Amino acid sequence: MKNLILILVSVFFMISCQKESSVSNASSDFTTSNTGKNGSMAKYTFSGNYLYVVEGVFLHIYDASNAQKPVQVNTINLNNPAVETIFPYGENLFFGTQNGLLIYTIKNPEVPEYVSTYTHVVSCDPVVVEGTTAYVTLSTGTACGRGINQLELIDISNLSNPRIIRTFPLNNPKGMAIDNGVLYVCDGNQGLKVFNVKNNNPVIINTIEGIQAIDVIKNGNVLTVTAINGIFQYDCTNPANLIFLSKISN
Amino acid sequence: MNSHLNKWFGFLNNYILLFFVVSIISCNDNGYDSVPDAVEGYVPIYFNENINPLDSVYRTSSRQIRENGNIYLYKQYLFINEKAVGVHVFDNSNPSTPVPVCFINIPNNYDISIKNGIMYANSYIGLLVIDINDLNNIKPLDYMKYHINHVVPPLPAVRNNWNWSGNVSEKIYFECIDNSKGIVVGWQAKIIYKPKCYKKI
Repeated sequence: MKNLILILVSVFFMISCQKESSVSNASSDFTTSNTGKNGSMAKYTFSGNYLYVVEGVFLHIYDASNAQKPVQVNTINLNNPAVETIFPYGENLFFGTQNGLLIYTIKNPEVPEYVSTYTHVVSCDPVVVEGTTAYVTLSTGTACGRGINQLELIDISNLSNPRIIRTFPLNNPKGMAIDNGVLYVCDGNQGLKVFNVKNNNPVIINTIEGIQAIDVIKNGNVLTVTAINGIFQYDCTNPANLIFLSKISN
Repeated sequence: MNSHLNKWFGFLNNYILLFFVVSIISCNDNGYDSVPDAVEGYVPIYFNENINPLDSVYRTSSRQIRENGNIYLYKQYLFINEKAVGVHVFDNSNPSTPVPVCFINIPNNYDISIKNGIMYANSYIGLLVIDINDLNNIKPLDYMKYHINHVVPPLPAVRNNWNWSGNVSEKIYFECIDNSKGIVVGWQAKIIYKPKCYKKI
């Protein structure tokens, strides 16, 4: 319960911070931060001074307090044949895996402990979390064989008993970013879809077509989207009206 | 305690390895299907003791991106991974006009994270530590192998060409593993000829 309050308080802080930053015009919000920001498809991530590295079935943990001389402090077996992505949120790590959502606690950052698994059909892709909801996309065309294409909202208010709230059919979803009740979903050749997910009721408020979107990072009021044919950036001050900023071609 | 853990991991690894070996062998025993002359498949990426990833970390001037992978934002910079070869660095101070800065060659790299000007990048079976405080003069500092026995990664199920709607193949062909070349750390999509090995999906 204490944790829940902590999470809620920090979420409120985040929300208030985001509102501040959205006043400025297309600027980044962490230029003073000493770590960076990764997308939802990443296998490397920082939580505090600890670097968490997903490699196959293993999670390697490095203490990077001395940045130039990181020390590997632990390796744990996640007991899952193919962990695809890692997403840190509060005192927990969320893993997108072949057969579901895997939750570990990092109250002791050097010794992650298994909390629970939300199992779904064989299909895999990333997970992002905000508040007490985890958002998971399931898609075909991954290392997981034939699955289904949809967005799942999972209630994690009780971390040891994650429960499905709602599903939403999609085309071929991949990476996501969430901020303040707005979820950005890369949906393959149907482009980037923007959802209002307040009250756990996903409603599409915008779609950027013509790009085959793979992953997205939201930073301040800038969206950076990776796609098959390049990197696209948008001003997302108003998520219902994304403004194209630039494209890096490949 | 530690040695106990290691033994346990070791045991588990062998078990998983065995599982992969068995599944690969079982892919081979069906000799009645026709073998295609040329097909899109996978070739193993090997790592062996003769490879020192630190030797292959260097900066070049920026160049065209071929296939973008994961991206990473750090300070005013945008890092774009090019699968298996390294990262392209852009100055993203103004997201309307990202300016190319340089390319950092990192062998077999897919993921990075950065803290306090130090980049951590995966490479084969370990972690590269690279000082990028001065992007004009990057300094490879260390290569740390993951402290664990290696597991052969599973084959990617479908080619990354986005044409997978309805075109999912029944078999994934791959070049058979040659253990004398080292350990398999990944798979590269390639046209392969008369493949002897495949996995059913």
